[in-house]
Amino acid sequence: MQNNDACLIIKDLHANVGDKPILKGVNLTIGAGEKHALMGPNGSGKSTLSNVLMGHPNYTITSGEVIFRGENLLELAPDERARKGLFLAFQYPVSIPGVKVFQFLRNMLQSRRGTDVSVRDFRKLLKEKMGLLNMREEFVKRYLNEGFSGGEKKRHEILQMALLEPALALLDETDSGLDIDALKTVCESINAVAATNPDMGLLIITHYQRMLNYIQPDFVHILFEGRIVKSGGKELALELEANGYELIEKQFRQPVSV
Amino acid sequence: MAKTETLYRWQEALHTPVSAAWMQTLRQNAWQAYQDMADPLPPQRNLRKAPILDREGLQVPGAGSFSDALKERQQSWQFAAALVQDNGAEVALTLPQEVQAQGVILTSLKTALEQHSDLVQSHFGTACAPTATRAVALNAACWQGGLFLYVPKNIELQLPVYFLQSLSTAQSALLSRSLVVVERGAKVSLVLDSWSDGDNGAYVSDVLEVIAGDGAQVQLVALQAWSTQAHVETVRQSKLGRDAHCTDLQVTTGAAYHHASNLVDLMQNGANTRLLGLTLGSRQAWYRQDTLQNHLCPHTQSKLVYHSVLRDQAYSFYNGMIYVDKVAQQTESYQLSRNLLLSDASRADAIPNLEIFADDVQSGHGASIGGLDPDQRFYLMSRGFDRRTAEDLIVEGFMEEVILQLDNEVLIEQVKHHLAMYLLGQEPEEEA
Ligand SMILES: Nc1ncnc2c1ncn2[C@@H]1O[C@H](COP(=O)(O)OP(=O)(O)OP(=O)(O)O)[C@@H](O)[C@H]1O
Ligand SMILES: [Mg+2]
Repeated sequence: MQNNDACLIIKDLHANVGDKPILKGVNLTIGAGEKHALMGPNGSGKSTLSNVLMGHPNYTITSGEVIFRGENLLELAPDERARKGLFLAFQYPVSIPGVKVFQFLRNMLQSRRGTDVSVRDFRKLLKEKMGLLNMREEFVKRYLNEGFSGGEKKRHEILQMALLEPALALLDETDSGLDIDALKTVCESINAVAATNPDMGLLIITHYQRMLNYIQPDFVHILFEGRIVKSGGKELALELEANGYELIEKQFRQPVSV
Repeated sequence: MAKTETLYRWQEALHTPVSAAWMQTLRQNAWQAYQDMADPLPPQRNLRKAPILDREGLQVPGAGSFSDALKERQQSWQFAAALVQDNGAEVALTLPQEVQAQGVILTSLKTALEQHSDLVQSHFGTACAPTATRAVALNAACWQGGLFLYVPKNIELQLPVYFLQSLSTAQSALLSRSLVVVERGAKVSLVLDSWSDGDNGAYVSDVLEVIAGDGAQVQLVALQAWSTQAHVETVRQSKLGRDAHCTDLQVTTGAAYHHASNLVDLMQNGANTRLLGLTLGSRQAWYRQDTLQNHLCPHTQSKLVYHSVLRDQAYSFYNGMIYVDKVAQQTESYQLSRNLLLSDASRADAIPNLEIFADDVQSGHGASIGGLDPDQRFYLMSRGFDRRTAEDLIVEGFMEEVILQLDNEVLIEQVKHHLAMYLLGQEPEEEA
C-alpha cells in the first residue's frame, strides 16, 4: 500500500430504484493505492453500487454519505465526478451509433485533462495503450460500442481507463465476456495502469476467482442483499470459489415480509 | 377547397407564355387540371395542425440578383458545374469548357426550351406526370425557375453539379420545375441547395424529375434551408432503368411548412435506390414527408432511412409506402423512420405502409419515436462530457448514421460542413 489517505469513503449508503430499496446500508473505505474486490450473487446490488457512485440518474439516494478524495461525491454531476478522477468500466457498455471511437476518446481525454491534446500526441498515446491491450488500430475507426463483441467492449472500457488514469476505477465484471487469453491481456493492462499510478484505488467487481489470480486484491468484500456482509483478505475469494454463496445466504438472508 | 377557387393575382401573372408551343399547351392543360382537381384529402390520422399560408398576399418575385450571400454559399461547395437562380431567374452559370465538351447540358429549363426543345419534350413529364397531383399541376402551369441537366451516355462527372435556388423578394411565390436526364451508363451527383434569408413568408413549389437510363448512377443531395416563414412543397420523382442506381438524401432544416414527396419508380430489373432523410426541426416547423419505393420489376432493391431531430415545438410526419408489384419477385425493400424528440413540445408521427403483391420478396420496416436515451447520455457523462456536449454528441451521431450512407467522401464532408454551419447558427436557441 502506497499511503493511507482514503480515496473513497462510503458511509451507510442507502439507495432506491423507484420505491424499491436496493442498497441498504453500504459501508466501505478504499485507501489510495488499494485494490478491493467486491463479490456477491446476482442481483445483490453490485452494479447498483457502481452506478450510484458514478451518479446514474435512475437511482435515488435515501441516506448515507460518500466522500471521494475529501469531497462530497453525491453533490456532483456524473461528468464532474469523472473529471475529478472517478472511472467506471461498465458491465454492459451502451452503443452510441454515429460517434467515432477516435474522436470520442480524444475528446474524453481532453475533458479529463482540461487542455487540448494534439492529434499527433493523442495518436502516439493511443497506439501505446492499444498495444498493451492487444487491440488493432482499425478499432478506433468504428462507432462507439456498435457491433463490438463482448470482449471488444470490455477491452474498450479498459482502454479508456488506461487513457484517463483515474484516481479510482470501478470495474464492473470486466472479466465477463473475455476468454482466457483476453482476460490475461486485460488484467495485465490494468496492472500496468496501476503500476504507473501507484495511488490509484481499484474496486473490482467479479463473480470469479480467475480475475483475482491476475490482480491480487488487498481486500475482498461480499455484497449480499444490498449490504456488505463480510470482508477479508484474498483468501475470502478462494473460500467463496470453493463453497459458493450458500453459507452466506444461510447466514445473512433477511426474512422476507410479505 | 372549392373548384371555383379565386384565381390569385400571382398565379395569373406567373401563368405566362414560354417559348415552346408544346410546353405552352402543357401549361394550359395543367392549369385547367389544377382548377378542376380537388385538394387531396388529409390522411385519416390525428396529425398536428399545419400552419396556413395566406396566399392572397403573395407577390410575383422581382428580378433576381447574384448577391454576396449567394456567392458565399456557392463557394462553400466544390463542383464540376453550377447554376444559380434567384427569384426563379438565372443569375449565374458555371459550365467549364471541358464539361461542356463532353456533351453535358446545364441550363435553366426556360433556356433549354429555346435551345433543346425536342430533347426536353421527349423526357418532360415521363417520371412525374404534369397533372399527377393538384400541387404538381399548379407547378406545371406556373413554373418560372428550375434547371435542365443532361448527362450523355457513359459520361462520368466526379464532382457534383450544384444548383442553388433562392428567393429575395419578400412575400412572394416561387415555382420551379427541373428535369434531370442521366443517360445509360452515365454517372452524376447533383446538389440541390435551396436557401433564402430572413423570416418573410413565401410560397415555394419545387418539382424535380430524374430519368436515369440503364446502369446510370445518380446521387441527389437536397438541402432545404428556406427562410423560417416559408411554405414549401417539393416533389422529387425518379424513374430508374435497368441496374440504375439512385441515392437521394433530403436534408430539411428550414421553412415553417414543408411537404416533401420523394418518389422512386424502379422500372427495370436490377434498379436500386437508397433514400435518405435528415430532418432538423426547430421553432414551430411543420414537416411532412411522403415517400414511395415503387418496385415494378424483379430483382429491384430499395432502402430508406429517415431520421429526424426535433426541438422546440417542431413537428414531423413521416408517411412512407413500399409498393411491390406482383411481378416484382426477389426484390428487397427496407424502410426505417426514426425520430428523436429533444423537447416536450416537439412531436412526430410515422406511418410506414407496405403493399406487397409478390410472394418471394424480402421486406422490412420500422419506426421509432422517442427522446434521448438516458443511458447513452450517462455513458458519455461518466467519461467527463458535460450534459450539453453529451447530448450534442448523441444527436450528431444520430445524424451521421444517415449521412455516412451517401458513399461519396466529397459529398459526405460537404454535407457535414453545411450541417455544422447550420447548427452554429442555431446556437442561441436554448432548450427549455
Ligand atoms: N434500473 C433498475 N430498475 C429496476 N430494478 C433495478 C434497476 N437497477 C437495478 N435493479 C434491481 O436491483 C437489484 C440489484 O441489481 P444489480 O444490477 O445492482 O445487481 P448485481 O449485483 O450487479 O447483479 P449481477 O451479478 O447480475 O450483475 C436487482 O434486483 C435489480 O433487478
Ligand atoms: Mg451487475
